[in-house]
Amino acid sequence: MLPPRKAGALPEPSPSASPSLSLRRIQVRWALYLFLSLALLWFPSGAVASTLNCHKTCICASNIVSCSKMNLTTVPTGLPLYTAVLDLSYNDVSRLRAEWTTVKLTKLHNLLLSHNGLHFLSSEAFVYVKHLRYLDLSSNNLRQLDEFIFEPLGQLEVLLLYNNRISQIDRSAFQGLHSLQKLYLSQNIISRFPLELVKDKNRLGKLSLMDISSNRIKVPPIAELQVLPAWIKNGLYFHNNPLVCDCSLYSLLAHWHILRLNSALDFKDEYSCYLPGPQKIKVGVFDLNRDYMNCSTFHEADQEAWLEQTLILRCDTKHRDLSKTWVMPGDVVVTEGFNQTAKVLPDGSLQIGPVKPDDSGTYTCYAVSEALNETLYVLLKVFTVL
Amino acid sequence: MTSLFSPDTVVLLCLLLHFTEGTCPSICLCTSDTLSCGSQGLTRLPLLLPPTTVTLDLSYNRLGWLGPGSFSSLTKLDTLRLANNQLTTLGHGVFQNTSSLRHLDLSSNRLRVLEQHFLQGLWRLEELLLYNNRITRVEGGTLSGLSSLRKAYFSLNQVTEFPFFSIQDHSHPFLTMLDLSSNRMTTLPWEDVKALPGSVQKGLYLHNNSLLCECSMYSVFWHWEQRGFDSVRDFTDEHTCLIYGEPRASVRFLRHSLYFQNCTVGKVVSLPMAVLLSNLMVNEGERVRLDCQTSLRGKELSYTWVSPNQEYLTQMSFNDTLINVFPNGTLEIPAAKVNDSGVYLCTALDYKHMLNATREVNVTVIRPMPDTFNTGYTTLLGCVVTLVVILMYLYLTPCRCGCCKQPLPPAIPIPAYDPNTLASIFSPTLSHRDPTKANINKRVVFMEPLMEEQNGDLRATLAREQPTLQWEWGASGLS
Repeated sequence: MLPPRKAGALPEPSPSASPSLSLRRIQVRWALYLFLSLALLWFPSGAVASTLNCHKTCICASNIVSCSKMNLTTVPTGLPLYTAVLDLSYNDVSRLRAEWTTVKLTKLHNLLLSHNGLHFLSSEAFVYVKHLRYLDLSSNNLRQLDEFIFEPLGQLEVLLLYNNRISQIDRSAFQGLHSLQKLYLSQNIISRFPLELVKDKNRLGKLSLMDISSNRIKVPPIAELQVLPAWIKNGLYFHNNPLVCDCSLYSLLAHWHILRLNSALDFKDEYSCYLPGPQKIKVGVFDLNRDYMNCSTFHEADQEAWLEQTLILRCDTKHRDLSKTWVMPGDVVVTEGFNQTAKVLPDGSLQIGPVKPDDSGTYTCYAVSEALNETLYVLLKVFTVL
Repeated sequence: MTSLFSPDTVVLLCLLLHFTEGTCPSICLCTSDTLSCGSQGLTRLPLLLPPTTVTLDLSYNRLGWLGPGSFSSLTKLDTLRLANNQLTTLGHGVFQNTSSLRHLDLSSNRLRVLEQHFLQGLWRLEELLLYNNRITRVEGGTLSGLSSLRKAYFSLNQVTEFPFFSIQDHSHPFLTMLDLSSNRMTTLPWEDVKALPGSVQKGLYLHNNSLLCECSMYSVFWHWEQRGFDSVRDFTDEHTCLIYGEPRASVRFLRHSLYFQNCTVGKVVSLPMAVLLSNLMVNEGERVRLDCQTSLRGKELSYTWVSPNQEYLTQMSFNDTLINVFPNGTLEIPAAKVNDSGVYLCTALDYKHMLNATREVNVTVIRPMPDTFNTGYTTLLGCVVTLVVILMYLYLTPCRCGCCKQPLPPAIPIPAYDPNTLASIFSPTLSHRDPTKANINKRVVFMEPLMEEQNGDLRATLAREQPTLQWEWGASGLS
């Protein structure tokens, strides 16, 4: 009869197994230590070997890395983390892949890639360079702009895309460019006016220059362009396009010319259009009122109001961020806490009302900033109902 | 016969002039405000440049010289790129009437001397790129008038001297980057460098020059490294100096500073490091030890403590019955008293490097509350009271059932058991015990398996398979 055994009691392990097992464990442990120490030893030197050779591949002036005209087909690896300007122009980088840099280049502000024959932009190309302010992709072979292609570049201010082969621009191609001020799309084959960039809720709020001159636009959205604020119209260049002659087109550009907006003033002679008909005669848009289509000469419309109406007079300046002062007819300056009929709103507009017949006259808006000034006149006519 | 000056030709010429004025030169690419004439083999500027030009790119051409007022027709010119040309010098007044210029790139040309008049009048200039030329000399007045200057690159040249004195707080208030790296400067006027505005020093890049190893040089860079300037941090290995000016004896002095061990690096710099230890609470009579750990790392630091009573305590104080200060900076109070509470301030001084750092410790000495209760007695009292209450409940409460006999006390689990009672539980039908019958077929299966060694392996077996193991009732008890 075997004595009852205590529950859970294990037998003694066999004596022969113990030395080999513990020896194996010790061996494995030391092998691991050795491997780790070797790995640590080689890791830094490995990293050093892949950094940019500043004397051979590029010229490095502190944080400016200039690798232009060096017959490069890919972006050099191991770019220093302090790089602020990277010049890769006049090379043969035809594809900008997702991993052209493997680390975040947080100090990179300017990226120059013009004259590279670039035809492919990866959708992840800009994830590591989110602080870019200036991107030059001009004089390349880009054919279309895909959706969200520039999405990571929330600090980009200037984007150069001129002299490519762009024919299609996705409506969300420029999403995410909250800081964009200047966009150059000239010298391409664009046929659709990208109105979404300046209108509607997804528009680029800071865009003061959009250049789509020298493209293939036939019919710009004239009615929508007319109601844009002056500071946007001032930088909206669409000269040298195969526009279709139309009196509304003449009216728009004549108005812009009277307002002395740069887009119409600087390139007056380059706004040409094709007369309707089989012969396709090309004429200057500013000649449409006289010689060709007999469009009515443009007159600046006066502001009209009815008796007792409250209305807002806009001070539609060419530049933004000017401080505005209004002077009413009779040289009366509108000040704070004036009589309640005239009030200057936060955006610089003048709210007047209820108006009486003797409120008619010329209202002057003086807009000044440190470097600029503008003077605008609004002629108000108050009608009485008899 | 129509002469050359016939009315038709004149009209034609006039028309041509009218139409070519301000339009795009054929060799350039024009957008609304940009003129891109790069890499066109130009040896001279195009004649008629549109006056609306804001950015003019003439890089990678063969321009050798620019005449006076070359860009005076471009009143809106903001950016001018002339990199990678063959300019050896600039004519007098080349940038006359071009005061709108903000960015000027003259890098990778062949300029030898920067004369005073080159950049005259460019009061709006913000960025000036002159790297990779052959500049040996920068005249003293070159930067005068450039009051908007923010970044200037003079690297990759052969500059031996630079007029640091021309840069002061009021002359260049926005200058944040001055790159003089990769030149041939051996010794600099270190006092002038130290006198530069702090914002300029922060962006002064001097790496990769042929600097002479000397204390005055080392102290400047040492201070910049202490302040964490990027100019030093990003280029630590490129800061080299030559021992006695010998080209083959180059030292990376920011990595290997042994050579400069004996240098004193100037005025005392106080590191703003005050570490407040959250309230240290001690009981009265306990021994208190406060250490003086700061960011300073050195072997020869001297320590000074200031007590809450504004007393200075150092190692040399002889109040050693009350408070001790050890050589390693530790302050010890052998027996804390309540009026030793307060903020103790320690200052560690590294005389050699002229640095000090401070540490504060807020000590609170509390007097423990006297025990009015002895907890042991309290517990005993509580036990006795409970016992009395229980006994009262048991024996003094009236009996409701009216029977005289006391009811059996409730079953209190006790280790020993009475087999009689157990038998009644297990087989209620047996009203009386039959020992003989009880023996037979009384097998109880064990709830837990037994471990048995068989052939060196462990096997779990059930008790059922071991009929010899069983509980046996009987007068003999367990077997």
